[in-house]
Amino acid sequence: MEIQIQEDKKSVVMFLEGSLDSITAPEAEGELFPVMAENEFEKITLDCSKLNYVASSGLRFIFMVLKQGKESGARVVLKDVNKFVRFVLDSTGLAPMFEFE
Amino acid sequence: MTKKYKTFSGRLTRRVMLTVLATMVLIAFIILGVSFHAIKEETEGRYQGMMDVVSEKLGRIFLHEEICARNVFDAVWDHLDSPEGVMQTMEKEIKLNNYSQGYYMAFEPGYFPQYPKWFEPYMGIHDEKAWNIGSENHDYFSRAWYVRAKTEKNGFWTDPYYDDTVLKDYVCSFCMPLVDSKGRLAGICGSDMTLKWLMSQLNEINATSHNQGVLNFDFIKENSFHTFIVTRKGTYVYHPDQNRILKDNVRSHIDVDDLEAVQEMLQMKRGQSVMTIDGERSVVFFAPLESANWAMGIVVPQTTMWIPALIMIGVMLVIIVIGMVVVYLFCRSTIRQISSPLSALAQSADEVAKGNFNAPLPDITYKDELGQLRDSFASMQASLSRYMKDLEQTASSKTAMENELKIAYDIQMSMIPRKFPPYPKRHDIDIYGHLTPAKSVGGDLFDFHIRDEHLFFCIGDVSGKGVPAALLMTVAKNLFHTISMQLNSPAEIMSHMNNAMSDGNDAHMFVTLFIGVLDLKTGHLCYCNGGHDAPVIYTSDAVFLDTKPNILVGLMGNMPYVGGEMDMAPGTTILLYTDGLTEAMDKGKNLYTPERLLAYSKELAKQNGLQTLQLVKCLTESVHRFVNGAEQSDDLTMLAIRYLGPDQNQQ
Repeated sequence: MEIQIQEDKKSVVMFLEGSLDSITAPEAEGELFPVMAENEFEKITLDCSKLNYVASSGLRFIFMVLKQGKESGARVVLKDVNKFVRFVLDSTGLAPMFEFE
Repeated sequence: MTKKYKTFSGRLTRRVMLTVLATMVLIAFIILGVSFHAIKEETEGRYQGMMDVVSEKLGRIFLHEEICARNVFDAVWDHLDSPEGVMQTMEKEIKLNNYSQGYYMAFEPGYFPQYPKWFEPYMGIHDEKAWNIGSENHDYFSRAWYVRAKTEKNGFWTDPYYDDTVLKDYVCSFCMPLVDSKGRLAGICGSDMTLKWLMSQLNEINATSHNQGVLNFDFIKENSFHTFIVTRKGTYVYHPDQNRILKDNVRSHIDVDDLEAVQEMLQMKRGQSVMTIDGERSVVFFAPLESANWAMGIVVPQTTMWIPALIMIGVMLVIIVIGMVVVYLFCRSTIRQISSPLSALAQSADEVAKGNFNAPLPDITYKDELGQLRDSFASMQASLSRYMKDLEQTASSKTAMENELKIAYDIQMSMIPRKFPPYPKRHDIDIYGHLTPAKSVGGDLFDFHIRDEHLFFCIGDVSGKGVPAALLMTVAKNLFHTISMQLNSPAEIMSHMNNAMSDGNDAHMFVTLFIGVLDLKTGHLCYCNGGHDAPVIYTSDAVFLDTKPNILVGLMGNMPYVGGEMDMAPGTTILLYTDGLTEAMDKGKNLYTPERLLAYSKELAKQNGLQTLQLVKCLTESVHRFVNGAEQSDDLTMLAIRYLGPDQNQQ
């Protein structure tokens, strides 16, 4: 999972690919959270354009990003989510908590 | 059963010895062959050489005799004037020429008028004066030598004969005619040589020649050869057995079968032949003594010939045996020493095979194949050890994982109602629920109970897998049961559950939950959906229940939960399920999808009066058909509740 930090060091984008499940979610956690801890981001974007599937571990990851972001005062944005992921976010009641792009 | 192994060093020793033996035997054969040939040639040469020496000496003797005789005869020729002159000359000359035994001059009858018949002056070597030996008793005119001498102008040597007149011994004579200056035959002059004297000259050769030769052992000397000399007719002229001289013929001492060989000898030829002579099988080397027209033979018994050969073979055998012993001893010690590490290595290998991977390896410091073998073995041992450790680790972690899964499975299974139908005595409700667990526990749960004629039911899906999910499931089920014993509203129950579960939930685990409360008298259903899949309602058609999705339970406290209501007419079925159904995957990673569920449900709804058991079974089969053998990754959970209408019999 690729992480891109913007030049002004206030925004970060994480590119999620394939499926976010019990194997890939911990990996994503291990990659993003240290970066978030080192920087004070104002905007955290999860680019879901290539994200196909989200399992419960994936939901957990996304929720944790939200919580962490809220605690450090950053906006958490979900970008280009597909129909399936949107449906899951809706039916689990998580959708209202995020900004969508 | 252990195989009996022969030793490597034994095998190598045998091979080396066989090779060495074969080589030595071959070499021995060659050496013996060459040696025998050489010895044979040498022996032949030696004997022939000896005979040549004898022949030459004999020739010299005869020549010398002849020269001396001629000197005497020349002198006599100068003094043929008178008998006295002759005799004086003879007396004088013999002192100068003393090689002979005696000289004589046999005059023709009436050559000297004083002697009308016999006049043969003789001067012996020891005589003072010459004397006439001619007389009636010695009528020499008819003697063979006299007759022959008349024709032999240059003189000749006679065959040996017995001189009964003067020497009384066997003699050879050199005779020649003496013709005076007027051309008249005066007579025959001759010189005598005894055989005894002749042979004494030759014996010197014989005696010295015994000691010549390659092998000089006493027993050979005893069985040694002997020599003989015969005339052209075969009469013995010389033989170690003196009685045979001039009496026996060599032919009588030889086997009839071998007489042909003797012919060659008597024909003055040179050579050798094997014959039985004097009853003994022997090799006879023969050569001519041209000066005397005799033949000489050396008789070598075959046993004498064999003995050197046998000795050589014996020596060869001893050398071979000694050689083999040396080779054997060398092989035994050296090869065994070098290859003993092999059996030590085999022993170490056995140790490793028993499971002792750290078995010590023998110390091999050679830099050759043995050292290589040992090094390879050591690295193999190290690999094996590592591999075993890895395997142990993997096995133990696999066991741990399997244990964990079993525990989780046991927990899960004990939480789910398994007795169906759960209320056989009631006629207002038909319930069937089933959970098909995935390999690794998915954390699905469902539960229900009746209180105050109300059926409280729920279905849920815990986040994560394994034991943590199973534990959370336990917590959720207990909370549902406890809280629903107190509260009636699904929304309230869920709100309380959410608060309880999100408190101290640092792991951010959650459960999607659907709670329903059905009034069994009226069929009125209150429900609340906490992030769960919308249930399907079966009447004459099938539709998704329109629920407001509240946030899933356990993540954040104090969240609002809003429920819904509907009326279930008798015969209506509500089907609760988890995403193990809608997200079931086939081999091509295609999902079952809610759309497919709805479509199939509509079909099933057309079959009016479908029982819950059958509904669940049909849907299960539909999923199985869809996945078509792909591995089940999540729990497949379904709970079907059919309201049959108020039970008249219930209070």
